[in-house]
Amino acid sequence: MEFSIPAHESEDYLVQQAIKRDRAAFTVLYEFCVDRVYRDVYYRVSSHADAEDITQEAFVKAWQSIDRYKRTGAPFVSWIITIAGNLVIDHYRKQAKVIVTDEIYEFKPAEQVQDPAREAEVNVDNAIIKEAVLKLKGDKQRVILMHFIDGLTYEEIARALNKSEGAVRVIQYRALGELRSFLKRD
Amino acid sequence: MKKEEILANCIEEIRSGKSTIEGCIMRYPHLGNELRSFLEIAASLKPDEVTPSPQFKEHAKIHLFDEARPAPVKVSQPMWKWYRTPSRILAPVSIAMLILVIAGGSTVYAAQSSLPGDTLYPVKTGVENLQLAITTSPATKADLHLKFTQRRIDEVQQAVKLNRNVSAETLAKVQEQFDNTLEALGNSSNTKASNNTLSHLSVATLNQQVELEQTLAGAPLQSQPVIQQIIDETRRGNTIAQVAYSNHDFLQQKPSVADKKLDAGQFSIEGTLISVDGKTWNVGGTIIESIHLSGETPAIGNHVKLQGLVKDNKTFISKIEVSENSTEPTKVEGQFGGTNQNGTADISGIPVKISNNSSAQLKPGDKVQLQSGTDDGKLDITNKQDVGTQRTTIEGVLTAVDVGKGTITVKMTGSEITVNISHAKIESKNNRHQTYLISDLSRSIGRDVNLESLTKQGNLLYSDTVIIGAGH
Repeated sequence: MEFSIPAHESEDYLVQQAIKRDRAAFTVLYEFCVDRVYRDVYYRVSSHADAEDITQEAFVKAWQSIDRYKRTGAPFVSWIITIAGNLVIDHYRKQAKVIVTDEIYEFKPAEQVQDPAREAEVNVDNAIIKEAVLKLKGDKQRVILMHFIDGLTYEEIARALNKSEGAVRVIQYRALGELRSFLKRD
Repeated sequence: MKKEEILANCIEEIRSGKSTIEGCIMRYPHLGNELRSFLEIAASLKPDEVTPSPQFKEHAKIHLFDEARPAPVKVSQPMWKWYRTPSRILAPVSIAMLILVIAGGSTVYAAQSSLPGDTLYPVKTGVENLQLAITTSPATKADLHLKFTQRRIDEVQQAVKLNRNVSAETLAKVQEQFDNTLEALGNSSNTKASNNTLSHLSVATLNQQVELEQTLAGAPLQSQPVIQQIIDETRRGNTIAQVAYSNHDFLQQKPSVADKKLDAGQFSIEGTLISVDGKTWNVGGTIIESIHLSGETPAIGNHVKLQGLVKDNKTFISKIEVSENSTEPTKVEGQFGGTNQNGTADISGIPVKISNNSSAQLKPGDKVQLQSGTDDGKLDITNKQDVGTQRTTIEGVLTAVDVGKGTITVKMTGSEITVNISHAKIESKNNRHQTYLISDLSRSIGRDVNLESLTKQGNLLYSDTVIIGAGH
């Protein structure tokens, strides 16, 4: 069953009100977005305690800088997710030694695979996949997370990243190729 | 069409159910294995099935407009009350305040990922103490302690990943946070909030047990005894949460996750309720004293099945099932503690009359199942085993089945847990030789279910053995 948000509570209206420092409007936006932001952050940090801290801080930061929000046509949640994403990067930088030395899985580069019949053999274990996604850099990781984890459409991702839809598809293709390279193991 | 467009179209078609991986590959055979591997990876990219806890959402909402960072602090106590805060709490608080003033928020933020032994670790725990010191509501305090317990356990896992030693001090910290959670819950008069926290405690401890059991396997040998003790504490935390959820009186007994007697105190008994004299019940000839039950006492003559815990000679009932017409014999399950002076066997603190040849077979610590067989009212052993390593299991009521995903949802202590059972053996409790398919389980919704051999991948629990019990 579909339901619609009353016009006066539409996202655009709420965002406009929030920019005017309307706390009630921002609180409603928080209610709309918090689950998705939390899920995105949890995917990246795999700890409820850290996901809670980062999600909370993302919303606090969003409120503090709401006057800098530029309407792009992408859903408001994608802006909060971007803020949260930067906080996750900070979080990992602070514990850089953990990440750098944390080579649990030994990935084998694609070009070293000798047997073409094994081309399609990938380990689809979720934990390993997540580990590989988090190794992707920049827009490749953002596109994969926005599309598969946050559920944004190509059009919404394109607007959020200020790129064309075609460019987003190319990034997705390259990102999946890189994931495949990461995941090929003996 | 370009490769990236074909890939994007196929991904969307598969996600919307309009096509399959095989269907796409047949349409674009020239892309063959490459397309297949891309689509397989795409199919495995999905979010963890997590939602933030209601307490967190409410807490974060209250602090949306805080100026400082981080802002997970409830400032509800007037500053003058600080003078009345015990010095035990103020000492670490003062250190944290000092660090906050000198180093600023970024140090505190950096400290959040520190581990025991790190320079910044005292900042992390100092800030936690600060949060606790200025929180007045027992229910909120309990939530904070539960959150900090999870942090201590996350730290154990992180330490093992980094090949660091897990010290006895860490064990003490885990115990302290668990026990403080329970103490705060015991002080709370907000039943709804307490139940919510107990429900979270129950699910959290279950996940912690499974995660730590996996961590234990890869941990350095010298850390393994400490990690095993932490696992034991999470198991007791789970037991306490389940009993307290049904029976808040239990928290007044000040249970501790370090209390090994709790392991021996769990029992189940079923039989005809022969008499009730105040708090003393006679179930199938076995006398149970000092019964604490939240809810109504069943009528005499009914067949009852009780589960609970004996602590300090008090019997706390966590689950009761009543049936009017049952021909089931009297059954008792628990841990043998020795023979009482009057000749009865101590089964988890309950005096049980057992046949002479049975008692000779038992040694203290054995887990036993007993059943009435003869007319003398004494019970015979039907099963016994050494306690050994206790297994992590989920006991609850089956609420949903998703055949496509291979998962079932089980409700326990007010929470629903989804578990993947796609590779599990599914059996009936009454006939362990009879096995079922997951598609058969749709007919078993509402029945008791036990999930054994639990493991965890990502955020999803997996079980290898599912036992379907009686309906309600």
